[in-house]
Amino acid sequence: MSASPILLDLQRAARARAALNMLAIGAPLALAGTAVIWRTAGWPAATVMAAVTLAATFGVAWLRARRLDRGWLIAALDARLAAFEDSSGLLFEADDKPGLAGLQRRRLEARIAEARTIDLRPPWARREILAAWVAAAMVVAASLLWPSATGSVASEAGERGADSIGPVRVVEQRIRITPPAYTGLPAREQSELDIEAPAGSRIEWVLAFSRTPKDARLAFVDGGTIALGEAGTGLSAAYTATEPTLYRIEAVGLRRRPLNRLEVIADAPPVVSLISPDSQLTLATASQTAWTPVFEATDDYGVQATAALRVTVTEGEGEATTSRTRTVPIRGEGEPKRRRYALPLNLAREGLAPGGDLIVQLIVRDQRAGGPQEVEGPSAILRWPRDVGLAEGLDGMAASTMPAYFRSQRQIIIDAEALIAERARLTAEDFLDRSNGLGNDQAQLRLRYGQFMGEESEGAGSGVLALPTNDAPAGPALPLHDAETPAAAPAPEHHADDGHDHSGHDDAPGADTGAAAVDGAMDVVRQFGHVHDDSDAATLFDPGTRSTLALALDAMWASERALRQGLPSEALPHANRALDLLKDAQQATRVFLPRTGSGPPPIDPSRRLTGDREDIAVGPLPPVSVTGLDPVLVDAWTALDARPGRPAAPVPLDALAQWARRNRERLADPLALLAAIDAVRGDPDCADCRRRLRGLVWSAFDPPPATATRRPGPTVRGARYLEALR
Amino acid sequence: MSGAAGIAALLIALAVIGGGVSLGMKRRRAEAAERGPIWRFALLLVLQVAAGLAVWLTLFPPPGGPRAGGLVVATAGAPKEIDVGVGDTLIALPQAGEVTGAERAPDLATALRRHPGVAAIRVVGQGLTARDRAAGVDRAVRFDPPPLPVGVIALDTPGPGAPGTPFALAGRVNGVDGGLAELISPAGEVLARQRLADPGEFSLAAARGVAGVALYQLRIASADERVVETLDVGIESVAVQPPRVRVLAGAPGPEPRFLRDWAERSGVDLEVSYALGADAALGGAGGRLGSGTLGETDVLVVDERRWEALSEAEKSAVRGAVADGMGLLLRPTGPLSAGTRRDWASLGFVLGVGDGEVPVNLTEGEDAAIDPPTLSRRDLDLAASGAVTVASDAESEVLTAWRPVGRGRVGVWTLADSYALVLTGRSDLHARLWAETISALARPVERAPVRVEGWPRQGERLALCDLPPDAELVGPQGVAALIPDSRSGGCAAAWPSSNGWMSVRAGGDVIGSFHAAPTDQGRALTAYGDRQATIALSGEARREVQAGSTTPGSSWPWFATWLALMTALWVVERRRFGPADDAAPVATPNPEPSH
Repeated sequence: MSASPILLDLQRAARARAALNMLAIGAPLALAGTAVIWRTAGWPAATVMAAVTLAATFGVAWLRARRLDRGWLIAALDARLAAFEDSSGLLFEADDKPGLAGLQRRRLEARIAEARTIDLRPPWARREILAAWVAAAMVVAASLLWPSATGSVASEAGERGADSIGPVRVVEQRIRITPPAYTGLPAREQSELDIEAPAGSRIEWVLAFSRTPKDARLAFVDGGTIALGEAGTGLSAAYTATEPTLYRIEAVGLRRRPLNRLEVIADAPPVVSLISPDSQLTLATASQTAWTPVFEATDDYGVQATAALRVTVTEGEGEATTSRTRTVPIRGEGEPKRRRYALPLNLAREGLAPGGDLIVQLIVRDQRAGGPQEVEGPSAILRWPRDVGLAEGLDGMAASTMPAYFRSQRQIIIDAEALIAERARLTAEDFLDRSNGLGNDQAQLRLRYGQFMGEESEGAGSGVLALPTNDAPAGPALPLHDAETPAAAPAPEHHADDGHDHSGHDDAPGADTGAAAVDGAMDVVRQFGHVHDDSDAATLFDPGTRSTLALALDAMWASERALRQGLPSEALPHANRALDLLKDAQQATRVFLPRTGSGPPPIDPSRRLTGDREDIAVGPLPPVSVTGLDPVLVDAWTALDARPGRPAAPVPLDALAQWARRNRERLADPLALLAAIDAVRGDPDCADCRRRLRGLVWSAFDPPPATATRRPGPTVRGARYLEALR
Repeated sequence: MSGAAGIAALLIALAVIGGGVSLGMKRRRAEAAERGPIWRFALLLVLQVAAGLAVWLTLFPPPGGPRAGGLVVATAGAPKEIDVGVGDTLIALPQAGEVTGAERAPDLATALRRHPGVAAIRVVGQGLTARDRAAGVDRAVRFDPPPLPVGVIALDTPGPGAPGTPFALAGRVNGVDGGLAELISPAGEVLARQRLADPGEFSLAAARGVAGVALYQLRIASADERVVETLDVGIESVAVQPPRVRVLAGAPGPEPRFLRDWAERSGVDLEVSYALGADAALGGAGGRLGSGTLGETDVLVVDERRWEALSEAEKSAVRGAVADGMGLLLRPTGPLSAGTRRDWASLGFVLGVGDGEVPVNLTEGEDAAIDPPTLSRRDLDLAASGAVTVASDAESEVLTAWRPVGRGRVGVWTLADSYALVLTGRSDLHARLWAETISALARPVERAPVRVEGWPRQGERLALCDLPPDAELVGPQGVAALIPDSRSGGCAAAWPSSNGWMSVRAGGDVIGSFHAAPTDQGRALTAYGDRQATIALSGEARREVQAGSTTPGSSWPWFATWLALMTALWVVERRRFGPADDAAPVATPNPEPSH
């Protein structure tokens, strides 16, 4: 090209200015758009937007610059330079143009220096640039300062890392619960803050916060705190749970969180049950020599392998019992949560005597870590009834209650004494008859008592002497509901004769042991000798071998004998002795103690039964003990009264919390009350919290007994109407 | 014709006549050649008169035809599209929601003012509220009731009582068959529940707690355990001035002893005197009964052994005290002698000898934790005596009853061993029986507590009755004076403007409190109330329509007519017959009335 470099310089300058113009306008717009996109969509989108807008700006600038092409240059030169005479186009054509064109061109080339004086650059678009920059500044300022509705600025601040503005949040929480080893439960992890764990578990919290706060701790509702310490990715704390409580996570900058529950499942004590025998009290059968009670112990986490068996043997009856106790260790079989314990006991080796009890009780312990819980189970009692051993050969029990037949025996004595007193007025026959009748009564009484001794009839069993007859009893004796046997009648003559002819004394059917053996001995004596004593005078024999009742029966037999012979005066001492012995037998098992504290004032015999009522001072009735309402609760109740027009009193939260902790057992849900107190303390204006606390205080009161209300009277008009009606 | 119409008519007539006269005079003054044809003159006169008539009709148009339509009022719950008859106007009240094509009016009175002369009002929706019912009283109202609303439609809240006394919350629920009505305590526990059967009536009983106000909740749940509705119910426990009770017992025994225990625990002022025979008595209430001592006693409890020991003077003093307002409780403990029966018959109770004991079954359902033991009562028939029953057992045998005698009351207590309830752990039942009996018999007090009619709710009308003249209502937003209306028994109306507890205060002391529930509760209750009241309003006889039954006519046609006539007049006046004279057109003054 032959275009002069000057002209091309002009063009280049113009193009540069045009491009700069566009850039100056487009750049602020790009910036504004980028700021808006950054504010709404974040950094990545903002960078994309910036790139796009800047590219667009550059593109537009380049296009604008391209518009200033050769044609424009020629037109501009022609317009601006009069010296070029509208023929600037010639300068850009070929050099050797013939004729006029060439001439003109040469002329123009000579004038080309004038081109330096002009400036073809388009003017700065000042207004547009200013407007664009101002608008962009406003948009950028707005996008920076616009208040964030959703905290996007905060998230921005959080993403920026450790800044000192912005609240703290708990980002992640993990809780590890390790139950105590003896329970056998596995350790577990959870992410909820409400925890339920066995008592004694170790609980570890691992918490991650949005930024590390100062003074992070777990605050318990009853005042204790545990500081959270650094551990790996977050903060952690450990705690051994023994009681149910409530806690919350606290830190500087952390908004007040709700309370979380920490429920503790207490270790239940073991339960002992009796498996065999079926009932706690069993009566020993006659032929029993061994006894094996079986117990079973169950526990939620297992009982110890060794338990103790407490064996108690008692002797004696009623108030005069003595006992011996020993404790035997015993191993159970089965799994720890359900163990069976059985120990065979030999009755003779334990020393169980007739009338005694053998009591067996199992004491187990569970495996709780902080101190095993010991439980004494139910007792199993084996009772040897008293009369089983005496009734040899009999199955079944003899009833051990004694009838109160004292009056009968006493009546016989009274009647005998009366008969003796009337002897002078009666004929001998009448006397004998009446005496015989008394003897009959005595016989019936004796046989009734004798039934308790196992005698079925006269003449059999122990404690009864052989009949003073010559005849042996033929076969089994008859029951004695019949009238007296006439065999009794010759007995008096026999005795009165005292003919030393005792050969008729029979042998007692000596099939008995014990007392019967004595009889047998006596009979031998009687057989081969002469005994003037009554056998129950017993000076020759050991009274310890006869029971009291047997002695009483002997005495009764002696009195009967005398009465049937018509000798009531002789019968009286025997009858009295029988009465004494019976009383002894009845009262032998009682110990009488005087009643302490019952000392009425001594009777004034001169005033007694006169009807004199002076000085009878009737004291007041004893006062009724009434427990009033708890003052702490009453204060809290009054202060929480939500009715308007009442003087506003501060709620005594501390006193109420202390009361709640002291009276945990009385409340159905003490943790709920503590949580409500804490909520009111944290937010004193929250009406719902106060309402909930008031409801819980209401339920903490004991339900009042129904009181009498007062009925409203009639109105004035009603009262007048009623008066008029009457 | 009203004043304005008369003046207008006069002016128009004057103008017409003046115009006609001036026309005539101009015609006479003009020469014969310049007069127009006679028909033009006549036409001008006629047109003048017609124009005057048109002016008059424009101002006072004749009424149009009879009004064909009425007013259709859309209330709460009205559908979006409502058919209206020809000529009916559709009005939507503020509680109606979106209704297409409806003119909105703040209340019915405004709508009636805007459309005077409506003959009939047809109500669509749940019904008119109280203020609209007052406005529609003198119109004929037609109402097609919608189906009953679902939820609590009737509620009877108990008034204040002494602590520990039982109260019952009763009402009716519609549309929740097989559901559950529960009474929730202030702490959130369920105190009583009842399954809802077809008519939906329920009655939940509980005992009041410690003295003060407590907020219970009534919760209605459907059969699939979804909560349908929750209502706040405020119950007040008021510690009352205790009655003074005197117990005269014929012998020491467990019954007066446990009665004394109950009285000490519940704050009743009780004195007991056990007769030990031969004028000796244990306890401080011995001594002669005279009108002085009986005047200070509110209830006298006497058993038949002690009654027989009273002298005639004492018996007449007792009768006089009963006539004066004291309560007397007769407690037979054994067979009644003839004299005692005569005396007690004179007090109103004709009783038999009653020498046996009959078992009493007090179990009250499966809910009780401990079943009460079987007690026994004297074999006396109280139902036949026509007395008011205070307590009866599970088989509806009357245990205690009273009759009014003079200004006081006489009652008979037939239970022989109510102390067994205390010994078996049911002292609440024992307390309730004795409390109800003593309350029924005690001497009345003058000041009755404030009675609240209806269930209080924010924004709804509430009636407070038995008010003293200087009562004021204290709410969370201030104090408002209440104006009791003596004609209605000292009742005043109040509209709680906020929800929460409010107190009624007179002379500086609080005499009653109630809780106003928030507006979102009890919608079914309000809907049912409006519905029933609107049905009642529509059932009244059609009233004569007072205001005009015809539409006022429109004056625009007459104005158009007048304009046409004036145009014609102008045209006719401008055209002249005869030689043209453009300079001065002959124009008669336009008879335009100067209004």
